[in-house]
Amino acid sequence: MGHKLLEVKDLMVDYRTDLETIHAVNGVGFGLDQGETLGLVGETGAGKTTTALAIMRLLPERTGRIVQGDILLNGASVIEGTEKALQRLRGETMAMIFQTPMTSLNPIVSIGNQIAESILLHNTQGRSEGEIQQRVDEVLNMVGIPPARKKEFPHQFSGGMRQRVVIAIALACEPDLLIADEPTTALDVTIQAQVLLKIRDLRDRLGTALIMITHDLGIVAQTCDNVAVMYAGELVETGTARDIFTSATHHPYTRGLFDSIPRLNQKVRRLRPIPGLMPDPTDLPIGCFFSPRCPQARPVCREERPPVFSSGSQRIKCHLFGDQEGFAQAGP
Amino acid sequence: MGDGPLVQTVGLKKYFKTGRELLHAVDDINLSIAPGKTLGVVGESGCGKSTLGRTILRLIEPTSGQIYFDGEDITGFRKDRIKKIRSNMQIIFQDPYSSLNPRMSVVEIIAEYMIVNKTWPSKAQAWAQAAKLMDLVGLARRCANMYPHELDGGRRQRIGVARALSLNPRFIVCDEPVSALDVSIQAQILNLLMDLQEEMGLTYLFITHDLSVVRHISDEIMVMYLGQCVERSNPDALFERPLHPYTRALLSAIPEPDIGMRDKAIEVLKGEVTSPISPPPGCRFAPRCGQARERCVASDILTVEADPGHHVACAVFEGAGRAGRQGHPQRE
Amino acid sequence: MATNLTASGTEAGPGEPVAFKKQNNAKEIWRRFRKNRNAMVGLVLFAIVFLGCFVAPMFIPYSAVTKQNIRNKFASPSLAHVAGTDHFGRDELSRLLYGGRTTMAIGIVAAAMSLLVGGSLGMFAAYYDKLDNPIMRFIDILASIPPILMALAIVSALGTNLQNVVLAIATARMPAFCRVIRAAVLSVADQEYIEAARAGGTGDLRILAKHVLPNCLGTIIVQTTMNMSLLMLAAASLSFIGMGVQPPAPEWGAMLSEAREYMRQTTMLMILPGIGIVMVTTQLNLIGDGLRDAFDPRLKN
Repeated sequence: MGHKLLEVKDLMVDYRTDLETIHAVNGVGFGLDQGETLGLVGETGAGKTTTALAIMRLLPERTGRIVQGDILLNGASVIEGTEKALQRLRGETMAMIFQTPMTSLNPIVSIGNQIAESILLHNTQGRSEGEIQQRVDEVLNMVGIPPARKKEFPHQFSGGMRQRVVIAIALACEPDLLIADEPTTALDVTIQAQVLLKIRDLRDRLGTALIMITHDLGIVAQTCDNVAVMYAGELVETGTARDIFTSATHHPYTRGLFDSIPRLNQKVRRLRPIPGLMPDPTDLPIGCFFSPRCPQARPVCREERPPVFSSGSQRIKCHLFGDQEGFAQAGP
Repeated sequence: MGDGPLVQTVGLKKYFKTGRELLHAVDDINLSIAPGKTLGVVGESGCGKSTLGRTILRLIEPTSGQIYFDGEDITGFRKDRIKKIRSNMQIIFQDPYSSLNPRMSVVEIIAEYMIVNKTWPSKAQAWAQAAKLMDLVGLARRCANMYPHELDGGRRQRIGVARALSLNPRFIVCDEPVSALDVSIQAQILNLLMDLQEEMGLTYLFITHDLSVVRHISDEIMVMYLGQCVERSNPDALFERPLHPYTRALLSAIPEPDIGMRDKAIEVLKGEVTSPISPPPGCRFAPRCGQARERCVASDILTVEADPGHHVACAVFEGAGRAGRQGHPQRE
Repeated sequence: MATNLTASGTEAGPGEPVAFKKQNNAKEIWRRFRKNRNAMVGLVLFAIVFLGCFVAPMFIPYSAVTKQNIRNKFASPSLAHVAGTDHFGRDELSRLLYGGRTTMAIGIVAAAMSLLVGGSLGMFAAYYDKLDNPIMRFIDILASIPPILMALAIVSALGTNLQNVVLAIATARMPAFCRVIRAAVLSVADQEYIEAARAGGTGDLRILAKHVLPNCLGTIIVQTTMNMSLLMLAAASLSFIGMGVQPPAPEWGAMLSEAREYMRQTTMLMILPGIGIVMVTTQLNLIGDGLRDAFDPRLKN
């Protein structure tokens, strides 16, 4: 092996318009092994989707810019790749599932043909027409749609079924890496359960590495091996799912996130929300980005960028852990 | 008037015409909410929960059945009298983006109802009152002259709350007020709604698809499926001992933010939510139910009180509980 | 991403003094419009032509337009006659300016009429379900007649004078206004803020005036600008075939038609009003395009 499947190094992405520069991602770094599942958690505007788009090199051309950092897929840089090489990578090595199944399918092409097209685009094995159709049937069976329905069009399917079609297209070429951007947010709970189960099942069967982008801590707890919590374009805390959900020490933002959600199994009269709002991505605070909302902020938090401290699998970007027992500085 | 329920419906029905057939959006709903209490209505998209809320407010005309407000039958009220009861019954919308007129400033939006209803002799007084409402819901007064698009989702939802409060209502339909918000903001708004209820003695009909939110805020919960109420109970009984198979499936489908629950058995429902167009007699959940028997599709299921205060409409319990036509719901 | 998120999340305390003021987003639209080079060129040129045609005639007596001097016909440009003279020896520049005034006035008034009638019909059709079918079927009937044919029919029935020309082309253009504004109102009418207004007891007229129309303003302005050029063209066409403004009154289309007979003697007389028509319609289209982009929220940021 030697190298990881995906390595993101100190990634910074800006969106530039004539009016302002939005600092969407500010130094994100993580690695992903073959078959591993990483949960990328955060609220709207945390930069989750931007990170995913940067990995796929699908940032809006006019405004989005990778300012710094590198993305290595199987050891080769995605950033330096030509558009032609990228087209090969997308679909064959990595694929993405978007949030709205309603808009990510072409309404006038039958779903069978949409799946066949993605196979045809990456037809390295030189499959014949018949073999491609056979593969389409296989893929449909895999996501639990009867192949008899492949002549039907997207509007004849319900939301959950459409999301399965999207998954089928993404998995048709058996990519090594699948990025799922809020794949179930637009779906009902019972349908969400079906789709999540399908994703987990296929991941285990095909050994696909998965980046699960979500704002729902429940989904993370149920599906991910490792978790990365994003805030204002950085990773404030990373660790194994077990550590994130059981450890007593957390980044103040992670703790706030946990306190904000009403639980099913315990009744609290008042929730403890994080005060305030996400910082303005065009004008980020000096020091720690979370300091204006942090209940434990010290003077140093408002002046200096926090370093990363680690203990076990947990890596926390916060000044508070400098003198905490068991934590050692692990990076800037 | 007096100690009776503030809001009550008896056999409330709303059918929509779709071509030649009828869509049973709300079918025979009986509910009653005591003053100062919250009834949570849960269900998936298309179960008729939003239609129910709007029908009670007479924003949609009911097909049959009665709506009582403070002991008075408001079902037959004409336009001018509806206008009067509107100041007692208000609504908070789900989408803080489309529910605010983009061409009006914050203070104009909040003062609009008071100006329309001539609550105050002059516009200046209405605006001054709007400013007080902004204090009440925690909106900084410097936002008064801003336009909705300049504000984030949480602040926008506070505008919606302030607007709903502007006529001093006693009853508010909250139609998924936190579904479009991030978790940390969601907690802020939930706390705000609960504080306002305590201070002003408000009565809520809280519509949501999020079970953890509904448990947190409700005094009683009603589970809806395809236009009908399948189970109604206090939150603790409902979550600890759900009776209806649909409620059970719904509860088990929620991914919980608890790593220990990772391998809990999920009752994944088969199939999709259909739409209640000219439904056949019997239980509407039967096609997806694992325990469906012949009885379930033979004729309509009666609602019974399986435990004190715990009503369920399922063939399994039909003989068991204190029988009774769904007629008049008991009050605790 | 586009909203202004402030770093200090904690809201300031109650009671801070606040001055309520009405600000408008016209400034923002103007800012975006100004950045569109084509639209700005269109606007500046149109302003020049417009001012020329509406201000200059104040200093030129109308007699200059009608005073014939057969001996001096087809004169080349000179100090006395900057653009030369026509086949009756009348000053061509005066005629061009007066003619442009007529053409533009017809376009603007007709657009306003068309907007008022067609727009209101479209608005009521969209807002009141029950009116939709009757109004729109009536509009379909109107639209099934080719506009220029309908305008011709109206003018021949009522007689050729300025008012009737305006009436004719405005009627012919009405279906277009009606449909566009109906579509705009429909898209606004199912927004939740309309339902919110209703929930507060707001009456239909106030809903239309305060909540629906302001949100269709962009479409209305753009539609009107774009159609103004079409209406000016229609006015010129009618005059060109002799069914519009009658001689000796100058109008670009009529001037073009008259000059056609003397094409062999001098082409100048044809080219000048032709250029006028082309310029004004092109400028209005450029402005309309610019306005559409400036109003389009998708181009914000």
